[in-house]
Amino acid sequence: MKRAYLGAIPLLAILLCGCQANELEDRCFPLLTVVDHAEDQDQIELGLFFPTPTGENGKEAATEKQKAVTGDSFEEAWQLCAEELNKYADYNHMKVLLLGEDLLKQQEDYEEMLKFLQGKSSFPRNTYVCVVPDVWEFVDTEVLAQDPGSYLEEFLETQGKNGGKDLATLGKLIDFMENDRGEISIPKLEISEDKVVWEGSYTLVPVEYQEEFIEKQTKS
Amino acid sequence: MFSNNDQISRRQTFRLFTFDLMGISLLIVPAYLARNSGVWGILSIFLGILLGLGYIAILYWLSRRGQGDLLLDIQTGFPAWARDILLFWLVLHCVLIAGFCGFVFGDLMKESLVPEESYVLILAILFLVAGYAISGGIESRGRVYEILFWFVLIPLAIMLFMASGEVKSEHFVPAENFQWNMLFSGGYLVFIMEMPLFFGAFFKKYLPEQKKKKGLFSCMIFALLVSGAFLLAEYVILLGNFGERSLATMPYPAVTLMSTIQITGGFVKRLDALMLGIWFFTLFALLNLFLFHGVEFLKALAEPKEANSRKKRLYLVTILLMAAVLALIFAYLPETREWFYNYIWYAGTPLTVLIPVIIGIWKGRQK
Amino acid sequence: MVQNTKISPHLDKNIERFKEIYGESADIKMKEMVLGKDENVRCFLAYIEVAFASGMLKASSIGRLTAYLETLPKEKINEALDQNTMGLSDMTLFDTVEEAAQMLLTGDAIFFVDGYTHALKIADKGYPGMSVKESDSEKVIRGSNEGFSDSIKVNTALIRKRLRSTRLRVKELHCGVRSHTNVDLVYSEDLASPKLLQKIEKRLNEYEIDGVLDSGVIEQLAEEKWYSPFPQFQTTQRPDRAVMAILEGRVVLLCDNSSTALILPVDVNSFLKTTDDYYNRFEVATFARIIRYISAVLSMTLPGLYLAITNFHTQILPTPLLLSFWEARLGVPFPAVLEVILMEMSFELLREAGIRLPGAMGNTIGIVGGLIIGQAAVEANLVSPIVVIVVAFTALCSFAVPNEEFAFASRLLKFYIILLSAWLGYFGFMVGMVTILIHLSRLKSFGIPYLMPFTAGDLNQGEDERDALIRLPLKWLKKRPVYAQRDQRTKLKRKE
Repeated sequence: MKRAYLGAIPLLAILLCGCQANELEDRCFPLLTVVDHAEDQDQIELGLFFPTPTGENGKEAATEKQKAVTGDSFEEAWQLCAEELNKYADYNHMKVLLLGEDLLKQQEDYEEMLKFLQGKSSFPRNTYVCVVPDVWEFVDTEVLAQDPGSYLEEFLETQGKNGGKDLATLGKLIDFMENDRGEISIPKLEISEDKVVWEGSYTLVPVEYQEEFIEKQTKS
Repeated sequence: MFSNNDQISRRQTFRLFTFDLMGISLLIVPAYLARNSGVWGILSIFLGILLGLGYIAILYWLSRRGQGDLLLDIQTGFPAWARDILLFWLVLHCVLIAGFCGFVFGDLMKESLVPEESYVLILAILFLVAGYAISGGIESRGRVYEILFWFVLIPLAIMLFMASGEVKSEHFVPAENFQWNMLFSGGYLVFIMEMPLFFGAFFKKYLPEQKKKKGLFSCMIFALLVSGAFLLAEYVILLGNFGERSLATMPYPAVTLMSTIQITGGFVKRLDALMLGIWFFTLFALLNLFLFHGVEFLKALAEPKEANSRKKRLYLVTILLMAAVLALIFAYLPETREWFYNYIWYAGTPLTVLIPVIIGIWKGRQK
Repeated sequence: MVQNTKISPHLDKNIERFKEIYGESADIKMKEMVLGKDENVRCFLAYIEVAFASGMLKASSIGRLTAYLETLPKEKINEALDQNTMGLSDMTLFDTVEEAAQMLLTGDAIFFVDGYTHALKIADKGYPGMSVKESDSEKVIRGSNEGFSDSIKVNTALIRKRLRSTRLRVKELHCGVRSHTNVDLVYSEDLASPKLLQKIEKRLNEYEIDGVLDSGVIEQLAEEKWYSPFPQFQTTQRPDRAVMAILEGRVVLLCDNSSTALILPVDVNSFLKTTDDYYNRFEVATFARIIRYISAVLSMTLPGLYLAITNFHTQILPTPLLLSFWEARLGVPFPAVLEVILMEMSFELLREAGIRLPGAMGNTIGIVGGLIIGQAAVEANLVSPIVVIVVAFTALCSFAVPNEEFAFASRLLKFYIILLSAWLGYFGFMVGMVTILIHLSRLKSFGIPYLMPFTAGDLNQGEDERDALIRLPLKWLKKRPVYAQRDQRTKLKRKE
């Protein structure tokens, strides 16, 4: 009987430690991910934006930190990023995935990124995806100084609902890649007069239909 | 007054069968169907339901020709060697499927809820809880699922309704032209998932005397139609949301679907983790079904003349261990899953049809 | 070995044996007296000091008896006692000294007469006890405020007052080898199942125990699954509740010296119903009942769900809420599970302290504990404010459960769910819930499944489900529940 009690105490201690649980304060919550292709190094650049706690007086809005790493592939960049972060990255609240134009032109890198995210299932499928000419210039602007993830999410949803524009999500991109049919438009954003504007969209088409699509676009 | 008489009501029977039929079918059938049949899988589901109804008719025919309980039919009127072979196969069949079910259950829980936890631990907990559930007998199982019925079906229906808004009509254009083997292979796949109906042949003793005759089979038919309707609705919505090729790549498409449903303006944002409760309870029901009957068959095999065995716990532990070991094998040796699929496709399911037919013919001749 | 000394016509022998039984007890008074017209009849009176009013008062029964005997000649006394010509309403005759000595302990007086071969028990005011008071633990907004007292006789009378039926039966049993506690089974003869009564009596006679000081002792000895945290008897301090149960075909068990009655059989719905559910209109009753059901579930699950969501499944919460929780947790030195357990234990401590402290101090502890300690703990960053809110809300939910024993079961199981959720997230939470559900599905109360009417409701054609989660209008509740005998299920019908 005494042995049972002795055994119960460490068991209770293990249970109380929460085993594999990551406490809230040990996590960071990236809300925006930026991915681009660094042409000069022929590498993938990955950056995360996540909120930090409000200031002591509680009146300062939360500012964000960024983490940028480069790797030969998206997977490598991702792993490097995880190593450099001092907290467990919880991607469940990822709002926007910002892709650089250059990345979209690199079909292989783009698909590798999608396949990795598909297998990992870390990012929610509802993460909005949009394209900008240069991700680092884009996020450096004044308008995105605070909480760019939430700002962009709100912007996209407003444009989508009120403007009737098609929004692209990570899930839709993955489905498009797998189904290999139809077409999908990814919003293109730019900064104009210190404001984010919806400049148009990139349309992705399966390789076998590309010529037909280009012909159609030329005619219209 | 009530007593421990190991009997359940018609309502409990219907609800048990519904859970058993929905157990694994809503979880993995859509992906398999998308791979096999694509958009034509919708027709395959109808075919599968028809096959299921035909199978219930076979079981009803068997019940009229035999004693109404297939276990009794096997135990009486067959030579001992034939009885032992049949019972041995039944035990093996139940343990195999329970093992596979355990593997899927553990895998789903690990992937979706506790990815950093040990798979062995998750499996151990699942089988321990299943053992606890089974030791309460059919009454306990019936009561648990009678209570859980609406708690599972209503959220599932709401989830499907919410996801139906995202359906795109272009996803219903088939990628390939219709071929008959798509229809039949898909229909057969759906029929395989209706295997819990087989245990309707052993169910007579669990219903009160006055309700036995038609009550059991009407419960089974209704359960098949309800689960079939849910499968059809789910498949259509999954196709419409993801497209057939993307759907074919997903291990658990329904779980993926739930993760895409967002609730705005409320206290919760996504309910996918909470909605996994649906599959927790349906898979738990299916696991219990095969373990429960595995214990019954093992008892009949080991102690054929003993009406009330004192070694029930021993049989329970044996079946649990065997199924748990098989689940681990399926998890860590993926090639064994291929063997299992082949067994179910070419041997397991056909035998569950042939054996009742053969016994029915045999019993008819004896009469 | 139990002796049976027949009462002798010689008073001295009876006195000697009586004194031998009781020895030297300061509270047992024994008086010899001489009565009769010619003052030649020796008598002996024994009583317990406080339980017996002054025997010489003319108003008391013993006073009237002795006054009457003083007028009779010796030869007429035996006949008068045999025929009760003095008109005493409560007088019992005994044949053995041991019986008479035992009956002294009921608080009545024992009277021996020289030459008479019986002893008399004369009823008097009895033991001191509390009178009818308001029930402390079962407050209602609408309905009677009377509660049971410690006296079994008073309690039985309170039931009879409300149920003036000739079919009401009170079966008296004695439990406790030394305490000889009176236990009454109160039921309606045409409604309660005879098999149920047999089962109850069999259970009550299964054990021999020294003393039964409260109905709780009987409850623990008679329940089927002693290890279950869920009560298998329903308790009540309200006579109207007890009467309602009798009218349903159930049995009420009263225990002397206990103001808590036991009702059986029982099901989960019984613990979440109150008497004023039937005094209020159906919308009010239904709303209150739904609140209670939700509270019962939340009181067990809320802290566990909080831990599962914040430690494992953050995707469930909206981002602003999650970030608010996250900021609140910063700087807290303990893991979340320890934080929750510490706060829960603090609340349990406050609750226990509040019960033990008298009156005004009990109110103060709520203010001291809740406001000051809770606030101080948050400001010292020992706990996060979210946890305080979750724990406080959980406590409120447990207070909404009408039955204290059932609420206690939820409170106990809450820790089980907390540990599982902290360990394995929502998977652990579901494992906990399913094991509790399986346990409940296996629980029975004298043959009735505990989960009635949510399971096996079709046994009474679904009638029990009309008064479960939702209470349908009273005019639609025409049948008694499944406890009642089959041919007595109709309880309401329109007059023709």
